[in-house]
Amino acid sequence: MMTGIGYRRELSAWIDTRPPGIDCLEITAEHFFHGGEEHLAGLAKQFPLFVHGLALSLGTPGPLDQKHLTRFARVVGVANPEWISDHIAFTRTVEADLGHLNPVPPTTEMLKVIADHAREVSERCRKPMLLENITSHVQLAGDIKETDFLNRLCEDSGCGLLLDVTNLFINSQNHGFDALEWLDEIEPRHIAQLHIVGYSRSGNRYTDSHSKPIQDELIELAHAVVLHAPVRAIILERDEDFPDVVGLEKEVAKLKRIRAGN
Amino acid sequence: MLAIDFITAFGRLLRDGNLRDVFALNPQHAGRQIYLRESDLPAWLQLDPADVEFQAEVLLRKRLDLVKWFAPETCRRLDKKLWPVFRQFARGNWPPEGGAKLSDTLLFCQHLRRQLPGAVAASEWNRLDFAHSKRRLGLRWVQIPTAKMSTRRGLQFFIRGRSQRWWEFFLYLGV
Repeated sequence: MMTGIGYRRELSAWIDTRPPGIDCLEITAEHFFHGGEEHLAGLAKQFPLFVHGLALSLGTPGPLDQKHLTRFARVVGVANPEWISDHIAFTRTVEADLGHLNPVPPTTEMLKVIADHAREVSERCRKPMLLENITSHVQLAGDIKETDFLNRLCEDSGCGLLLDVTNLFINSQNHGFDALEWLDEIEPRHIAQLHIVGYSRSGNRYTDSHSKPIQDELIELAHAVVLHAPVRAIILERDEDFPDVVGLEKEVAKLKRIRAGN
Repeated sequence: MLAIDFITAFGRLLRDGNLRDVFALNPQHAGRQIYLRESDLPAWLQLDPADVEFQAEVLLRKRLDLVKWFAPETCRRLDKKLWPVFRQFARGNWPPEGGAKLSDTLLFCQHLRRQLPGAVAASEWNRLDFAHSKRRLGLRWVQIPTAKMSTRRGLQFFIRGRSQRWWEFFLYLGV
């Protein structure tokens, strides 16, 4: 199992030192839509890469945004990752760009929309694709239980699951369910990669600010996932309030604790 | 009028504060008002108005992050007023698709110039105004913030190339 970090410009000097524990990098496709291909090609020579998307909007009914998909595929062509990923969500509708991830209802109709879109992206990029669970403050009703929806989505689309452990934890707290029971209902072979970062709290709401150190309860949950499924990579997904080098090393050491379970 | 699907309707609810107000009082009426597909009405009626409002504010805060990037001095000047003022503006205004980040910041600054004259940094307003225009050249007198937390008078100069890419220069006057 590899451990790595989401590549961000603020971390580039530290990443250039080839820090221990960073076996791989996950790059965000949209960060390279307007340049930086040479830099990306350089990273690809140094590390195994995964390409992660934020805005393919797989859950929007109708055709994918072909301009966005073309740019995404070009980044994938340069990075040559082992796999690509995006979210089980929508970021735009036929009327407007919402600018962020929003939840989709677990319905038979939505299952087909996302599976068709994911297959199209995977075929266009000629790479296997993983689909990621998001956190949401709204719980949507559907005709399928969420865990069944995810299992069926992986089967119908041929994709794997990128399980965001922090999002699972946050949703379990905000919506009042048991994260371990939820995990037990997910077919282990689908889970290929994990995302993890510390959560935040705002009043009685848990939120995913991507700005906090990983808390112990997340390490415990991630370890349970590692025991449950053949996870191939764990990525630290920090976007804000980057710590200094010592702090970063502490966070990477936590990824090792997930593997070891201590 | 064609009926709209759940995702389109949910998207409208998340970006339109006035529709959320109607939804909180009478979700069925809000659904009919936007011609939600009949088969999606049960899922629509199960949405919790408080949760929807929270999710909508997550989107507003993402928008504000981009506004801060384009107009940092203006946002700094507003200090603790920034979020309530932006929320009041943005709850009922969604930026048009394409170039959304820039037009959102420009519209917010236009709103500020009406509501809180003096809050918008002149150099940032000039930059937004030029970027949003198709002009080839722009020249403005401004008080330019310096590294020593003071200001100096100078010229703010913009040039746009044939590719629509543009550049900005400052010319300080005096010592």
